[in-house]
Amino acid sequence: MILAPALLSIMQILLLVVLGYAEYRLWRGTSSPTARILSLLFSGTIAWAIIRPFMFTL
Amino acid sequence: MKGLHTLLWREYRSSRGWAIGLIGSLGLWTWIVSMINNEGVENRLALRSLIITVAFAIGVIVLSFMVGRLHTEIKHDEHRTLLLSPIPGYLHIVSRLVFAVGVGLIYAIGLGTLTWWVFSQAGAHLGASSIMQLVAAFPAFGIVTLLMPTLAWVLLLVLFANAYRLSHLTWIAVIVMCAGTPVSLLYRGINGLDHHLPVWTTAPGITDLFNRLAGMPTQGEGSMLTMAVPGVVHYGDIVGAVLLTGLLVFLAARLWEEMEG
Repeated sequence: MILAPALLSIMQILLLVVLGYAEYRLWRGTSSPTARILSLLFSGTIAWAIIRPFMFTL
Repeated sequence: MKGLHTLLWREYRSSRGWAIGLIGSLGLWTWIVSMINNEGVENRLALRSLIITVAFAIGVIVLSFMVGRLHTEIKHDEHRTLLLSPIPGYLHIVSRLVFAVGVGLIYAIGLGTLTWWVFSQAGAHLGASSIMQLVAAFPAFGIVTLLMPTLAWVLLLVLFANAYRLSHLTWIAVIVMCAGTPVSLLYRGINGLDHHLPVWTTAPGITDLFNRLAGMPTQGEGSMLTMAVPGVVHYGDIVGAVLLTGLLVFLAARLWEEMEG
């Protein structure tokens, strides 16, 4: 019972780290400004979806 | 606009096999629907309607793959032959979208005509307004609200992935876009436009049939004079879908200009 929220948080942090690394690779991987903005938008909304439930537990 | 004609002709030349195959499949769907002879009008109507819905969904998937072939064309530099007379990026996107939407509209009208036949077989007395609704209005609505944004999204996906071709990160780009799109739609609220708008009501001929099948009087007290299609058919969806398609086409055109222009 105590571990469940902690594990969930660890999962969320891991997901955010993976997402952050993917975004870093995508940012560096193109010269197109539109592609960079789009990748930021998509990664940002995914990150928001990951963080949102976590914020309610604080 | 001369460039658009050239690109539409080119699109017709490269995709006519897909287009003819899809429109030709209407014959197959007609045969399948006509083979259904279950007991009871309700069962027959339900099963035939289900098959027509599946046929529409398959049409959307086939057309998505058709416009998605842009990926192969970019990879093989096939469009370079047109660079002798430079054409703006948005025309490349719009021409593919217009051709696919045109094919989809013909296909949907065919399915609408099949639906008309299914309803008349079920005993509906359809007037001109009901027939126009089944054959023209519902197919056009489906094309605008479902097919147009889907195809524009596929084109954007192809061009977004193409922006990462040289760095070999296309698979990360595809995953991020496929995962990010539903989340974006959820939080951006584009689909929320329809909340306070009136519902589209079905024409009397169709309503009468449903009244009869539901065991309700077709006229007077207790009858459903106009049956709303809840949560699906909203005028607001049309506005939202057109805005969304415009945004996706604009972004895809920008990517084309930056990467291929």
